[in-house]
Amino acid sequence: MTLGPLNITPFTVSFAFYFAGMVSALGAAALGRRARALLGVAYAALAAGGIAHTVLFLQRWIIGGYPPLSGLFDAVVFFAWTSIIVFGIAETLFRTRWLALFVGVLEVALFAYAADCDPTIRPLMPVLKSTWLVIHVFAYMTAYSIMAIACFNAILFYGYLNAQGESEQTRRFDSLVYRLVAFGFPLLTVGILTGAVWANRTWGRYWGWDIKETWSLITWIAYAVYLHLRFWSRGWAMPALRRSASLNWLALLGFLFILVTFLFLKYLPAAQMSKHVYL
Amino acid sequence: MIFLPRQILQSNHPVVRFFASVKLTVTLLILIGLASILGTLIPQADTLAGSPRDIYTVYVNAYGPRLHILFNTLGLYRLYSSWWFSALLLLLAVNMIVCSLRRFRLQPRQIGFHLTHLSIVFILAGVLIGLNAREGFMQINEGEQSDTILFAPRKPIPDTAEEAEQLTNQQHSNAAPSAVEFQLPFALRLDDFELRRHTRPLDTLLAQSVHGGRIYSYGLRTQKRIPRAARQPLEIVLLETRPLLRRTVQIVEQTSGPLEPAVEIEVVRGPHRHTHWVFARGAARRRILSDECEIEYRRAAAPAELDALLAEQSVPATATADCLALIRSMTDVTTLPLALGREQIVRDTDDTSLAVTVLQFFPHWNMNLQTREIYSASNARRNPAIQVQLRKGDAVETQWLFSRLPSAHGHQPFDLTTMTLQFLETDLRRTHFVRAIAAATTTARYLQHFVEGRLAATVPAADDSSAAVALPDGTQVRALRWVERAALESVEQPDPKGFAARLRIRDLASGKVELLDAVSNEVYERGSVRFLLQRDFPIDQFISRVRVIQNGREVTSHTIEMNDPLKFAGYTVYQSSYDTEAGEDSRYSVLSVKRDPGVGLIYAGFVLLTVGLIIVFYINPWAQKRKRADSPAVRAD
Repeated sequence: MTLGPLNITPFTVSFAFYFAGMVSALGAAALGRRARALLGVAYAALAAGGIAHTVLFLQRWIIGGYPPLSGLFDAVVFFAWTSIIVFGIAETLFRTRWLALFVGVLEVALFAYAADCDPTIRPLMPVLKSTWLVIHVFAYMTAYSIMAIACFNAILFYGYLNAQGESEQTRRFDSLVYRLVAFGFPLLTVGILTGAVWANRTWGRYWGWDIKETWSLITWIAYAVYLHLRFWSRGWAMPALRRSASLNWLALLGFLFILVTFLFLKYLPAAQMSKHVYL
Repeated sequence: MIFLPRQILQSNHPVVRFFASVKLTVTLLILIGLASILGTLIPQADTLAGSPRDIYTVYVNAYGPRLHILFNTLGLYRLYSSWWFSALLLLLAVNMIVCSLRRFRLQPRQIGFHLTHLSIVFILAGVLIGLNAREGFMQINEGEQSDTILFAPRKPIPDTAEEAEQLTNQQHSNAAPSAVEFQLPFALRLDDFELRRHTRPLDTLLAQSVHGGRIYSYGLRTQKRIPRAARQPLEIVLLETRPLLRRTVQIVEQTSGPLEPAVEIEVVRGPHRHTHWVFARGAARRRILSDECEIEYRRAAAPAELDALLAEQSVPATATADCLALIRSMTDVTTLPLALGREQIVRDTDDTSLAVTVLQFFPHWNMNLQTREIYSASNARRNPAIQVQLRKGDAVETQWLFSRLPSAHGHQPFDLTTMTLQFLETDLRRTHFVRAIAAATTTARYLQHFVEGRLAATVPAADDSSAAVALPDGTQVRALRWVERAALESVEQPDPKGFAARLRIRDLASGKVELLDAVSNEVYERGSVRFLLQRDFPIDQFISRVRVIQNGREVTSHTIEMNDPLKFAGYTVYQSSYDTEAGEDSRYSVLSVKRDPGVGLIYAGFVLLTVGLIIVFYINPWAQKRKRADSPAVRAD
């Protein structure tokens, strides 16, 4: 197959930078401490991708005349955007040196997914003309990104637990998983609640067990269970790290549920009846 | 429950401890989560359409007769309102209350915890009160009022095939009502419904594999690999767009030539405006303006005839012949009785003959938008249409004519410069009849309004185009222009609903490049890809202007839009639907009416939950951190 002419757009530019970031982060991970500079390259590439990504977001906002948050393409691009921002803040605060790889993979995967969606900027449908939409999507995507980073930290926790057993690093990743989930949980809740308020204002029902609503509740329950278990397990008679090891997989499950809710519900037969705009 | 004595709450009795335990919370959350997943895997009955028989068939085909009875008994088809799912939710609320009360201390650190758990109680109380909610739909025609809402009772789910038959037959014989009425304490009057579209068009490219499957939609200015998933994709790049010129016929006034008096009539109803030309000669002097209104142009040759016309107090009812196809030219009107398949010859003015054959008649014309199949949706005359074949020499063309959508005729066939085609149903009895009257010798002009054949009003319209006949539904009919020598002129005009575009198409499999001048709404096929250009004016807003009427008086009015409902007397009225076949010409609006007294509690619960979680997860850790920084000796946790 021959390739058509390559287009230089904010989308392709940030896609390319993210890809470069992912590859150099992969190299840095493979070479370990010998390749400090490569990790720096990865950070720089991800930052450059983030800037182009912001340009893409603002450009679509200006052309469309409304915040580009609705429609599958815009939702995926916005999720990728909140993810790079949350990653930037988390990495500045915690310096894990591993997140760049995971976030690079996430960004590339999301951009590849978005590339297959219809990017046409269409006038806003009447249902979507609501301030609640902006709060709803903003809260949800920020929460999803925080939960994504929490999931990556959980993977790192299990990795370090396997490699080093009980160590400073293992304990650090364990604490990060909890702190990130605890930080994201209220935002996740606000996402559900604003969705309910919006639905009530539009259709006169705040909850209808629509498949999207139900799966968002299932996701919320997974994290609620994790937080309650974190609290309850303090009384368990077992070492702290073993306790965490038996709980942190819930952060992985929770993020899996997020992906199902956000992107994969359209493969369920019940999705035909859903009122949610994209599926 | 909140007033449980302190001794019981604080006791160490296993039952109390069970109800206060985190173990119960976690177990309940997991059970609710698993049940919710199950509910998204089993199709829920209320999302299924059709008769009890259809619903039974869906379930038996999926699970077999035995499992079906088991599932039905367990309430899995209405899982979220089943008794056991409600019990789980209720148990969770009890768990929250007991847990919260047992740990209750007046400490700032505890505020968030208690707010969070209290909010669940608020939300559950709101849901319980909401079980009494009233909800239904109201369909109102423009200019009319209603105080009745309809709601569908719960459909029964049959256990066995016999039960399914029985319930379905009951439904067909109307023994079991498919909708129940409810009277509101007020009435709503719909002034008008407006479907507002964006004025800027959205041009898209629709593409599909020739083997069928998903239809991909692309914005025309976004390229490129089409369809992305295809094995042999194309790259389509838009080079330029141009207006699409269409040949249309318009009526002009001439200074010389044959006498052909005509009047241009304007019909305004709310935001809608249409104009029609009505001729004084031949059967074409009658035109249908709407379902309810017809117009006629009468021209008096002498003053005595004018006086006689004005003196008429009634007009005979419309003739009750069957449907007719009507070929109208400047000099002649040819009517074709609706005889399917019989070719009839009509002469055009340039002396070529036109052969017209009525191929099909559909009383309720409809099109399946996916398959593009055209069919009659029912035998009721809701959208009557005929398909005619026109033959001029060797050229043959077919087209659909609609009696109630006179503007939807498509483009002019061949070069019929002096002819127009029209499909009339003459057996329709229209309540309103407007008559335009002019005299040949004087400048006297009148509009008359007849209701059910009897004269209701006569309006002089000599040189004042603002004089209008007003129909009860708010429609205004006025004469814009009176023309003595009308002539049809063929002009090329840009079609606002279409466009032409130059595309560069590259076959990515073979590398072949082609330039294509394409027009909208035509299907092109290249390789294994089928595509078409489409122009659409996306919907901007649905608007129902309503007035609330209580005890015969207008109390308030509101413009209901999507996301902007009307609130009155505890009821909320939402924009729900409209006549989707008629689109912007919809003459009715469907409103959904709901009264849910639990919403206030639910929203209070939402606020408590949000505030509680912010305290628990943001403020408490921050305060703790500060405390730890102040006194490093104190270990938190």
